Amino acid sequence: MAITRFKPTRSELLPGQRRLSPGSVTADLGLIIWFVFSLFPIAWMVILALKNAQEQTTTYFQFSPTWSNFATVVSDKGTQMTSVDFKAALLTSLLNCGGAVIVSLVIGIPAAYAAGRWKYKGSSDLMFQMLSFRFAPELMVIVPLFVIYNQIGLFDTKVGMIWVLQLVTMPLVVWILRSYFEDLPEDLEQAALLDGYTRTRAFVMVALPIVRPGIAAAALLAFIFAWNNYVFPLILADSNAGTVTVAITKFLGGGGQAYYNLTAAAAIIAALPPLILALTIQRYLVRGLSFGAVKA
Amino acid sequence: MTTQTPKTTPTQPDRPAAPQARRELPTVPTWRRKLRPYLLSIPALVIVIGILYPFVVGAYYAFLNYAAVNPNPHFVWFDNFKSVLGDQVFWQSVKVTAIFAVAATAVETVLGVGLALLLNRSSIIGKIFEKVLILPLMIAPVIAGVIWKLMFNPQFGILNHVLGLGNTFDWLSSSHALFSVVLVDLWIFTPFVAILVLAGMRSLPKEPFEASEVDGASWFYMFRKLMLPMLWPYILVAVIFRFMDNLKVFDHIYVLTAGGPGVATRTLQIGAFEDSIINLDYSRGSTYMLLLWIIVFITARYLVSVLGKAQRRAAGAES
Amino acid sequence: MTRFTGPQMSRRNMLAALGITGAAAASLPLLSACGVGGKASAPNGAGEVSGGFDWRKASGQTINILQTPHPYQLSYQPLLKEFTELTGINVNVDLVPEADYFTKLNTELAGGSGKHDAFMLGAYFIWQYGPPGWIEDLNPWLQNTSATNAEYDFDDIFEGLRTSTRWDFTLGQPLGTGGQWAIPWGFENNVVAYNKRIFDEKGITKLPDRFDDFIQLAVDLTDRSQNRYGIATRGSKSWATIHPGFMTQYTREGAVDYTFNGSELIAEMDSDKAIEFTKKWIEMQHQAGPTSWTTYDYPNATGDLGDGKAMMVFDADSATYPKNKPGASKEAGNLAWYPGPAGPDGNYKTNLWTWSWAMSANSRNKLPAWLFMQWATGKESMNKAVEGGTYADPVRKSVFDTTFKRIAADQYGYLETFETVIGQSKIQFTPQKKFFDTTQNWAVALQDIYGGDDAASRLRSLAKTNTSKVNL
Repeated sequence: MAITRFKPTRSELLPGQRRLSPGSVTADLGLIIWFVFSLFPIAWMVILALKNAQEQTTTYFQFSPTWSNFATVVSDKGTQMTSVDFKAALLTSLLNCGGAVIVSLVIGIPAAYAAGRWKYKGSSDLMFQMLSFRFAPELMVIVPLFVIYNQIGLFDTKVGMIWVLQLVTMPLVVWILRSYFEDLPEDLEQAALLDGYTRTRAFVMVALPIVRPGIAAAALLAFIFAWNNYVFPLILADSNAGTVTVAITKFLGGGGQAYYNLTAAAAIIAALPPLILALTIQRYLVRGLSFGAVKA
Repeated sequence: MTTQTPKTTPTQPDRPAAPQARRELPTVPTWRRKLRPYLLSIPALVIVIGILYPFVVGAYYAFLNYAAVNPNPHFVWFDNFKSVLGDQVFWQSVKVTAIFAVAATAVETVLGVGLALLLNRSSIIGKIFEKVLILPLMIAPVIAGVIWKLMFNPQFGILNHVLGLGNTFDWLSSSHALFSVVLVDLWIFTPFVAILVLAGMRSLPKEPFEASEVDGASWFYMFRKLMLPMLWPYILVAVIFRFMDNLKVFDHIYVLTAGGPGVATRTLQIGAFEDSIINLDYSRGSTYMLLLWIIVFITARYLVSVLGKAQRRAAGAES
Repeated sequence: MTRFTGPQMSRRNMLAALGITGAAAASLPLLSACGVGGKASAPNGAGEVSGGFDWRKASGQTINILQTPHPYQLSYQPLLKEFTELTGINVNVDLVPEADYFTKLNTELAGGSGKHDAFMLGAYFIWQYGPPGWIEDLNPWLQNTSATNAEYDFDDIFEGLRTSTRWDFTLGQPLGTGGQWAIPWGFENNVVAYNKRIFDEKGITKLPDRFDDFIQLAVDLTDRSQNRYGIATRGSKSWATIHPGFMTQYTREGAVDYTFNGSELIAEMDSDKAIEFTKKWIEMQHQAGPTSWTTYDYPNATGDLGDGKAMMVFDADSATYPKNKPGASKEAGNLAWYPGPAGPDGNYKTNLWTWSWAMSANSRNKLPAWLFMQWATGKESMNKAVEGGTYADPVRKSVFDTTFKRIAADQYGYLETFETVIGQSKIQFTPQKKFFDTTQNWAVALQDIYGGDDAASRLRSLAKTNTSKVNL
């Protein structure tokens, strides 16, 4: 069976749409309105990061820009202010969140596959159990977790953080991928099996590539949610496994003084890794999947 | 609608020459086949149990009178529940949480699907914007709360300045606060819905739509009768995640208003935070959270069954 | 004092716990097996120290300290290496943002991990951490001459601060007796800071000496068209809204928070004086306060003064002090201080806050921690910190009289204000173990009144709730 990769021959319009109709202009206008709303706060955050202490709350758009806030955040001065080496915190976050996502994928993909493909007895219960992690209010588990982690020595360790971040990443990965696995056409795998491949190879060669966009989407979203998680690293970590999201808030200052400009600069730097990841993976998100679920 | 032609299916990555082609499926002993799904799921099960344990401990606190001022807690059965359920502030928090969750999820879903529809057209503007769709998600809700609080400030905030509202309009007053926190939530999370739905849209088969177009159906008809049923499962996954998260919302609301003014934005998890962490009354906080968890659990059960039905319908619609 | 740790779980009851989904019945065996409560209290470590004092007594050890960002912390950061040189003790600092500081600290102390040997503490928190036995009584340490150096001179610290950090945790007993639970490190008087440039421009020479005149001045100074308002105070949903300006003026006007009738505390937020004062205070916020008063927290209130939007601030003097340094804020150089309006009888009772150092009762490094604490609150390091120019107020009279007077001499009215109030400055709250719960309720009541509720009835329901809570 010849299998060819789909190449879009023209831009995809919504069914029934034509280019440059009045509908399409309004549609573009709608997009513009949303993105102004969406990007304005971010633009403003960048502006705030460029202001000095005197101007952070006294100017709007006219000010004298300075890069010093960014410099302070990553320099020794920033470390003195927050007792956290921001660059090290970035690395720790990468390890924690990347590790958490990898663990979730390694464990979640087989589970999602099993549930999506075979719908075995108990699969919906297990799936629901996983979803139920997201129900557990974080504060409910935080005190017991703190005690337990201290007892078994996982407090302020990267392993401990990766474990607890499963609460955040696993449900996303499993649930998103389950949809994709459910839609998986069985014939392709059957074909590979008929050709003599083992089940595992069939899975790796046939199923995985098809669900790649799903894996990309799930991994990206899981990474972002883990990256932005605040409560767990705050309570369950100190300096060894502390994430960058907590480090940002240390720049806010205290004792009646506020350094919003430093905080904005820190937040922008901290948003770069997930952003870079998002831009790299976008190809998979965006490119159309293979179509046609050929269903007999 | 079925097709027999070996249509466009994904290219297999270059694979080595196939071993001897067999003409029947390999035989696998039944017990091994039956065991397979369970084996695959065991690691996941381990994680589930690992997380269940602190959860159960946390739930257990709700039946004690464990508080910092009470170093020797003992069992109090359902006293905490009676106290919390009889507290008017608790019910106000339920109301706030319900309004917030429903409003935020509904708006995020509608906007997210709309955005996905608009972006699916892949117009030039759409292509540019798609790259930055995800930006608000990059900002942690805590930080987003800080930034929005600065923007909302009537004295020096940018919003009143740009919108011409002057320095006497209070976004976080008792009458506006709930609206404003919903606004912040949808700013952060609408892209989440849009991304999920967009990915789903892009995976839909094209034949039904092409055929419909040939038949002369209007865009709206196609959307309602064809696209929506097939899209429902993806939309519902997004709804489930957003609704569950919104029921437990904490981070950005706490930064913006700390649950105030008064109890205007006091969601259940904020109430639990006040009890557990500020007042160090862990048992009362756990009671709050157990009740919250029950609400979330029941709602999720319901939504998931709806999801199941929708998936079955979608599968039907595609054939 | 019992030491309180979280429930200890053995593997046996871990498996038992798994079978439970919250049903009560099966939990009974867990209760005793879990070992909740009843642990032996960690003994005071002072008794083990002997052999004469030596700074290098604990050389080679390491301590962990927990701090929150603050001008005090910033002033001491560069001095830490001097401590290590002096004693040979390594110091690991962990910093937690102010908004989350007590979240982290509460969890850590309740969990009993004892990770941080010494930590920054506010006085009210002693009332919460003391009863469960989480903090070490420092009296034995102070009195042990092998543990404390001879020049330490504890009595050099202002008396109001020393008494404010002592309590015996008995309901109705005022502060000043019982254990010494923390050593004051820096403190704040809640007074009025104002924009002198504007005052001079408007020809205001006499500062209002009574509350009604003060309100009138604030209203006169408010000009919304210029984005200018008279008085900034905190209004966010937190106990910290009551503590600075509100509690200070409340006390000056003759109101109290609780009275003790011999066996119980009775809430007095609904006394006639209290109701009248509260009404005026809220009305002042409407007419002369920030627009979003109910979200205004500490940095907002002081920030607006520095930005030239607020003409006066009734809050901590130490927070507005750094804003007057060149380049720190827009109105730097234009700020001045005065004690605020006196009470009807001319009193200047003031509520204070002190950041102090406390030691964890579960610490495994108590001697090095104590050496750190006495160094940090000692004369030498405090003099150096004050020289930095952003540290206010020093807790030691000797440091105040010499270094601080010199450094702060050009801060208009600062020293005079300090001298006026210091004799009557202490914690004006009645100590009680439910402080945060009841005081946050008070702030919520203020917010409700601000939103339109009738003051008298709202305060009455508040008093009723608080009376029942505080005696539990």
